Parts: sequence; C-alpha cells; structure tokens
Amino acid sequence: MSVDTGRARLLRNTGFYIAAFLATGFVATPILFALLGGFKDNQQLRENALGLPNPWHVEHYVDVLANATFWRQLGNSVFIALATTFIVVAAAAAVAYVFARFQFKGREGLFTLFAAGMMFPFAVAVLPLFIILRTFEMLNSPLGVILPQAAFGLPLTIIILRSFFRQIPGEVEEAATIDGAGPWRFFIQILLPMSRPVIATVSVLALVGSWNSYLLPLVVLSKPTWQTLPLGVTQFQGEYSTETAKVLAFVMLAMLPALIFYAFAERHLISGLTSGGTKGLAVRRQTGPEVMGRLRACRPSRPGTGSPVGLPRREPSSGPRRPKRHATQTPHRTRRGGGPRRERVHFATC
Amino acid sequence: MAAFIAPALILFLLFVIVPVLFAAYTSFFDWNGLGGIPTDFVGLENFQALIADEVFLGDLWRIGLITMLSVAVQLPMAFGLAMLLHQRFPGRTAFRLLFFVPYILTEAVTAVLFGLIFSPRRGFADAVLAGLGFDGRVGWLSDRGLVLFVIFGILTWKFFGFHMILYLAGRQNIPEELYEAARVDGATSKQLFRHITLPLMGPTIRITVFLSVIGTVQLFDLVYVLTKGGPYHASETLAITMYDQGFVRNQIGYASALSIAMFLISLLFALIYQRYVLSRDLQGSLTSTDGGRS
Amino acid sequence: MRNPLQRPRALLAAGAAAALALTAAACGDSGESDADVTFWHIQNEDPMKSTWAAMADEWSEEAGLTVETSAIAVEDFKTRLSTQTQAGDLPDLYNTWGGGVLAEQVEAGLVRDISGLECLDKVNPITLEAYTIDGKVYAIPFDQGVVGFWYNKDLFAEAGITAPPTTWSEFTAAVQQLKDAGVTPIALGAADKWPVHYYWTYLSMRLVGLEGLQAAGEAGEFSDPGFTEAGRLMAELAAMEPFQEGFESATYGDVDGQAATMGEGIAAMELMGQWAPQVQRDASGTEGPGDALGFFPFPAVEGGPGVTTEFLGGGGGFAAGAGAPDEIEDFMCYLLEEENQARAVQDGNFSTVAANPEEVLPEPTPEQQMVVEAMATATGTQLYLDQAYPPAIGSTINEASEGLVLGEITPEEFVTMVNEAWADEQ
Repeated sequence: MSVDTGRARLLRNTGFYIAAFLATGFVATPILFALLGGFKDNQQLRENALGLPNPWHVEHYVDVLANATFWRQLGNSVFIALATTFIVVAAAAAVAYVFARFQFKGREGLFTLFAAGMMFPFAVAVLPLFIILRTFEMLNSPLGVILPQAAFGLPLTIIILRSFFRQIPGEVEEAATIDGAGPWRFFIQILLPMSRPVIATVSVLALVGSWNSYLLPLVVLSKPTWQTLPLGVTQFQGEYSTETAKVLAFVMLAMLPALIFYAFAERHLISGLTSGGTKGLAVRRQTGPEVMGRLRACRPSRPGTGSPVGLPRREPSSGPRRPKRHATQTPHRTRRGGGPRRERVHFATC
Repeated sequence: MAAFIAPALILFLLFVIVPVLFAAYTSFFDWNGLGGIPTDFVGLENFQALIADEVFLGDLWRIGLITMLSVAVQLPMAFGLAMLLHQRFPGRTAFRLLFFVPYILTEAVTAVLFGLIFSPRRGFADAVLAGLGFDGRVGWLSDRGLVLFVIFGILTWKFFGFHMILYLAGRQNIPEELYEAARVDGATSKQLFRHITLPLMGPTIRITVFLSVIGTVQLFDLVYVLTKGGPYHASETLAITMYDQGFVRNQIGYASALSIAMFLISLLFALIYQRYVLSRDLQGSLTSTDGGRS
Repeated sequence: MRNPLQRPRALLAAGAAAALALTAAACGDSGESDADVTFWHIQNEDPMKSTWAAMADEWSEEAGLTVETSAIAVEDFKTRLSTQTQAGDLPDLYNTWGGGVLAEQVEAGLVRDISGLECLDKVNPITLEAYTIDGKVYAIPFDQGVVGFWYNKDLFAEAGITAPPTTWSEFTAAVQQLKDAGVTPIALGAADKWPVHYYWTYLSMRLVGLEGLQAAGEAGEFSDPGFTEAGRLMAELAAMEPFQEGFESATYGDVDGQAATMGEGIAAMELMGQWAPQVQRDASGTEGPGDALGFFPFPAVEGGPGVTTEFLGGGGGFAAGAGAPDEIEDFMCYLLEEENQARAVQDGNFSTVAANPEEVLPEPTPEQQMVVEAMATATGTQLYLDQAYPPAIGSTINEASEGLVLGEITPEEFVTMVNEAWADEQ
C-alpha cells in the first residue's frame, strides 16, 4: 500500500476528518450545551433543548459577571493555583536536583518515600490534615489549601523532574564547576533555565490539579472569603437550583479562565513533554559511543534504581522490549535548532 | 544539600506522611472521631470487617470494571486520536486544544454539568435522543445497570485528552528517520506501526495505564457530586465509601482502615505492575520514550 | 523557540511574589475566625438567608461584637460540621436537628449547656425535647413541625379520590387509583436516602407503636417482628411502582427532584416535613400547587397499635459551641424575641415554635395552619430516626431504606443491617 498516491491521501484525510469530527462531537456537545444553555431561559431549555436560543438571553451571563462572589472565587482559585504551583515546583525541583545529581546514603530510600506519596489517596489525609491545619491556625486561610496541595503534588513532580535532570550530561555541571559555580548557582543559573520546558509541563499539571481541587477547600475554607470556584459551583447550584440556565452560565464562565490559560500554555505543555524527553535522547543520539562513554564516566555515578514507586529496579538487560533503535538510527541527524557543534545542540534546544 | 531537600521534605512529612501515619494508627481503633485521640484498640477488627463488607467488595469490582474499560476503550481512543493529531492537517491545533478542554474542567463543575445533561425530566441527553428519533427516557443515572457506564463515559470524556497529550508527546519523540529508513526497506504502514510506533510508545502506554489505575482507585469528586455513589452503591467508589464511613457515620477507625486498604491496593498494583510490566522504563517515561535507560 | 517560556516564567514569578505577600497577610488572618462569633446556618436561599444575616448584624451592633454569618448548603454543612466535630471545635452558633448527632457532640464536651437561659420560656416546651439530653437543654429551636403527606387535591380529584386515605389499605388503593388515572402517585428523592426513611419509620411507628419504637431505640435492637413487617409493606408499596420516573437518582431539592416534581404538579403526593410547600416552590420555580395543596397524616396500619395522631417530626435549632463567648446566650435570646421569631417564621416559612403562637404568627398561611393543626392533635412525636440515633445507625437506616425501595435488600436484611450497626455501636 503506497501512502503517497493522491487517492490514498484523500481517503486518509477524509478518514482523519471523520474520526476527528466524531471525537469533536463527543467532546464539544456537552460544552456547547452549557454555552448555549446559558443563553436560554428555563422554558427554552425544556422545550427547545437542541436548537439555538431564541431569543437569546444574555442576562444570565451578565448576572454572573456582575456577581462579586464569582470574581472573588475566581481570584481565589487563580491565586491558590499559582501559589501551589510555585511552591510545588520550587520545592520539587530542588529535591529532584539532589536526587538526580548527588550520591548519598539513603537517597533511594528517601526517593521511594516521596514516590510512594502518589499512592496515598488524598481523602485519607483529610481529617488528620484538618487537625494539623487547625494546630497551625491555617484554617480559613489560603495556606491551608496551598501547602497540603503542594505536598500532595510533590511525588509526580519530583519523579518527572528527576528523570529530566538526570539526562543533563555531567559535562555541563563539570564545566560550571570549573567556572566556579557552586551547587546553588548551577541549580539556579544553569539547571533551571535548561529545564524550562519540563518545568512548564509540571507547572501545568500542578495548576490543573489545584484548579480542580474540591474536597480540601471544602473542609478547610468554611468562610466565604477564600472559597474557590469549585465550591462556588456547587453552592451556586444549590442557591439557584431552579435557574438551570444561570447555573450553566456559571459553569461556562468558571471554565473560561482555565481554557484561556490552556490556550496559552498548550504549546509549552506539548513542547515540554516532547523536548523534555528528547533532550536526553538528543544528546545520546548525536554523540558517538565514545562521547557517551566519556559522559558516563564523568557523570556522578547513577545507580540504576528508582521508579515512581521506588522499588528496587531490575538490572538493565537488553530484553526484547527494547526497540532496535540504534540499528536503524541515523547517527547525525540534525534537529531543530541544532548547531554544528554537538554540545551546542543541547543548549540550543533547551 | 540539606537546604535543597529541606523544604520539600518538611512539606511532605507534615502534610502527607504525618496524616497518613495518623490514619494508619487510627485504623486499629474503634473511634468515632470525638474526644481527642482514639483509645479503643481493636487490632485488626476493622480490616476483618472490611473483607466481609459487601460495599467494599462491590467497590473493588466497580473500580476493576472502570479500570478495564479505561484500558480497553479510553486509552485506545486517546492513542488513536494522538496518532491522528500527530499528522499534519489543517485545523490540527484546534482539535488538540479542544480535546484537552474537558481535562482542565474542574471535576465538580463536570459533575454539575452532566447532572443537568442526564437529569431525568429536563435532561439534555434525552432531548438529543428524542431529536434523533428515539423515544422514551433513559435512566442514565437511575438505572443501576447503566449508571456506572454513564460515569465511565463521563470519565472518558474528561480524561482521554490528558492521555492523548501524553501519547502525542511520546509519538513526537520517535524520530521520523526510523520510519523513513524502514520505508526504504519496503515496510508497510502496518509494519511501521507494529515494529516502530508501538514498541517505542511502550513506556508511554505503560505509564498511562499506571496513572489511569491510580486515578481510578482514588476517584471521588466527580462521582460524589454527580450521584453520591448511588443508586444504592451502584456507582460507589472506594473513596466515597471511605468518606461516607468517616464523615457521615463518624466511623473514623473503619474509614481509616479503608483508606489504608486503598493505599495497599495501589501499592500492590504498583508492585506487580512494576515487577512484570514496567520493569525499568517507568521513570522518565512521562517525558521520554527512552525511559530509564542509562 | 529561544524564549518560549517568558510568559509562564513571568507568571510564576508573579505568583511567587503574591504567595509571599499573602503568606504574611494570611498568617495574620488565619485561625478559626477573626470574628467574635461564628454563625452557621443552612438557609442559603433568600429571603431567609438575608434575614438571618440581618438579625446577626443587628445584634452585632447592639452587643459590640462581630458576627460572621455563613449560609451553607445542607450537604456541605454536614461535611463541614462533621470535620469540625472531629477536630473538637464547633462554631459558636450552628444549625442542629438535635437527637443522637447532638448527643454525640455533647458527649465530647463540644456544646454549651443553655439550660439556664431565661428566654427559653418564649418557646413551646415540646419543641425543646429534641435538644434536651440528660435533662439539659443544648439548643434553641426556630422551626418545629411534623412529617406527613402533602398532596395535590386537584390530582386526587382527577383520580376520583374524594377523601384522603386514613388506613394503609385505603392508601395503597389510592395509589393504584392514581396510577390508573395516569398520575404519578408519589414523588421521591431516593438519592438523598433520608426522604425514604420516613416511610419505614412511619410504618414501624404504626406497626410497633411509638412506645415500641422508643423501647427498641433504647435497647439498641429492632427485634419486634413489626419492624420486618414494616419493611414488607414498604417493599410492597415500592413494587407498585408509585414513584416518578428516575426517582432512584433524584435528590430532594435539586432540579427534577422530589420537591420540584410536586411543585410542578406532576406527582400527587410526597411524604415530607413542614418545609415541603416552601421547597416545592423554590425547587420548581413555580407557585406550586397553591390552594390545591393539602396535608394528611400518615395512615394507620390495620392491626398495628400506632394511631394517626402519632407523628414523626422535628425541626431546626441552633446550638452553641463550647468555646463560644458568654454573649452567645444574648444572641440566642435575641433570635427568640417575638418580633424576630415572627420575621423568621414569615421569611423562612417555618412552623412556629413560640409559646404563644398568636403573638408570633397572627395570620398563619394555610400551609402553616395545616402544620399547626396537625401538631395540635399530636398525641406523641418521634424525632427523625437519622437524627435521633447516632450517625452510624441513622445512616444505616437511611441506606437500608433506599435499598429496600430499590429492591436491593429484603425486609429481613433491613433489620439485620440495622441491628448489626447497633451492635457495633455498643
């Protein structure tokens, strides 16, 4: 089957569009229902569920937008999400750096401890958390939501960041050390800037996690002052249970900020996920075996341990699952932004 | 070095480890949560009761079912769409954006939205069916045989975009040269998929399965706001049972035992999965097809 | 792609700055509350929401203390209160239904004893029963009423039913008549569970008798065969399929829920407390059945000792947390002033708790009149079982009631479930 004949391409493209549109229908219908429903009145919702609003009622959206509570909850959500993200990424990056690039006793045990955190259901911790937060007088304070959220966000963030940091060649660190940079300077001035894409990725994940959080704010924030949008939605629904259209308008507007954020971040998320991984590959692919050997030698030794669950790792073996990458690989392909010098390639794609 | 570790460690100990240890401790007590600390030590009684608890066993069956459905339906769908969106065609970015929207939607908001869609009398879903010429109402959330599948549908709607993004990233990591070289050797697209795409996507696929299972075990917000686990436990999850025992019935000891069981289930799964499936490519597979290769 | 992340980084930097700034601010602002008095109630819809807030503000000004009023949706309220209880710290003034839930809080030493409150003479002593534990009073009531069948007279007439049923066989006959006439006989929100447990409780009250039920509650065991029989009758009723379509996932107060189904005139009756007419209007966004709305007590069951003047009932009250300032008693008395009782009864459409109803409620609405009349005939009352008993028992009864109506469990299993919960509790 040749892929390049015109008819085949036409067929293939048609197939793409059909599949894409089916999936679009699946995804978009509920959203459209909410969007348009917000412009209908109750009678239209009942009798004209499928059609366009007629007439259009803008007052539900206007009402929500004129509602100070909505804006306060929005602001709270944004603030709590940003603060959570900052704390979790900063703390995780620091510890992931140590896990990735230092050798010390108990390192893997500690990493395992963090990684096992992924297995703890958040709901388990709610009650003891409540007691702890009360002890520290953090109830009804955004910190009472931010800190636990950040703590529960650590495992995944650390795992992702560590695996990325490990792929940065030791030579970079070596060069920095020769230039007189200590660990702090290396971390802040070299490692973090090099890791921007993957930091963008974990940031998006942390932001989304915080944005969606429901149970923790529910028990911690009993005062309206700091309540977040997810709480607002259920409250709003309770308060306006009969005004479905208004609830839909609220739902729509509550999703909008996340949508706008994602529209901006999407590029970085994907590039972070991809280039984040490619980085290590790029170096290895574009360096010959002798360079790789040197890299290994000069890098702080990395015992082959560690996994998100922190279990003893099986020794690497060239099992059948390993794709035969090297056999088919062209050793000197140029990547986007790749320069003539191999080491440069790395920096250029960061 | 301590300065690098300290913030994360303090945060983690205080807000994760201490609460979890506290839960583990209380799981050995009969405690209604009142009066400071638990005193009525009952040993493993809570755990014994758990094994005989039909609701708990039902939860296990339900999360098992949702997990299997996710692996069989949701992940392949995400995979297929990722392959599709990897191709260059006009409008690709718009599709990518759209498919990720449900993921960033708050679970509570999602539940409120779908509660209205599947509402028995004013429901949009019934109206759509009527518009398509089907008559009669469907008990989307009230039919005990159907509700779990409806929830699975909502979960798919919400989460497939996340998995799709991971797949998309994994696919973009596969160098096109591999395909070119194989094509020169006369490989068909089927062969390309089987011998290049699939094996190189392996780590990403395995990590998404892992995340999907862990997520299912902890499923709470969406189901709680939508059905509270009903009708009569038909859509109940482990976390909802735990919440009900702990916060509605004040059976903190029992609820703690349940939460420890949830942890052990996740851990057991992780161990088995790690041992037989993930082996060494788990770490890094989120960001790399190269996995933990040294 | 040289600087792809300028914006997110700037965002992060801004977030960091904001976080630091607010950390400082938040630490100052944290803790339980900066207000002197925290006040949690569940009337989160106007007009009552504003009325409580107004009363709190007025008292606050008078007393020179700050009051922070939170209107919380009932399900959220239960979650929050449960965490607060377990953390050993209740709000200064909070909604309570009395009974076993309050008793647990009292036992943990979290509730203020207000037995000495002078203004308690402004309320009908009967209304204090649910809040009296071991002879001490722990809450002031603001609403007190009974559960019974609210019915739509027009729909009954349509089905040719001339008088409300007084016995169970008349009742099931009426259900059949309504079904034959194409009317949904009963609205039910089974997803909330508690509306279902009224049926089982009432059937038990009729079959075992009020005294028998109270004795069983004290003994902590439902051994009388009447309890199983109650379950059987309930299962038989459910087998007639008298409920609206989708009742399994319907809640009480949400859109398309039990109250809305009544309010829109779709179902002919519902078994509910004194707040039913108000919620019918609120949840349906209509005027409700209006003059067509009637009330009849739960019918007697042939052969059972229970009579129709024995009511299941209860209401709402406010209890004070143990840590509340002494002025909280002033606030409670302020809420009980006749004038304020009148405002609450009017705006909240409550059933009055006043010692002299005429002073508070000179012109009751027809609905309020129906409740007042029913209460006047009452020869005995039982608090809702899910409040009267400890939470673990009450929840089990709710859960089992749902299971019974859905045909998931048998009447025998019902009793076994509840007895096991009792056994665990002791």
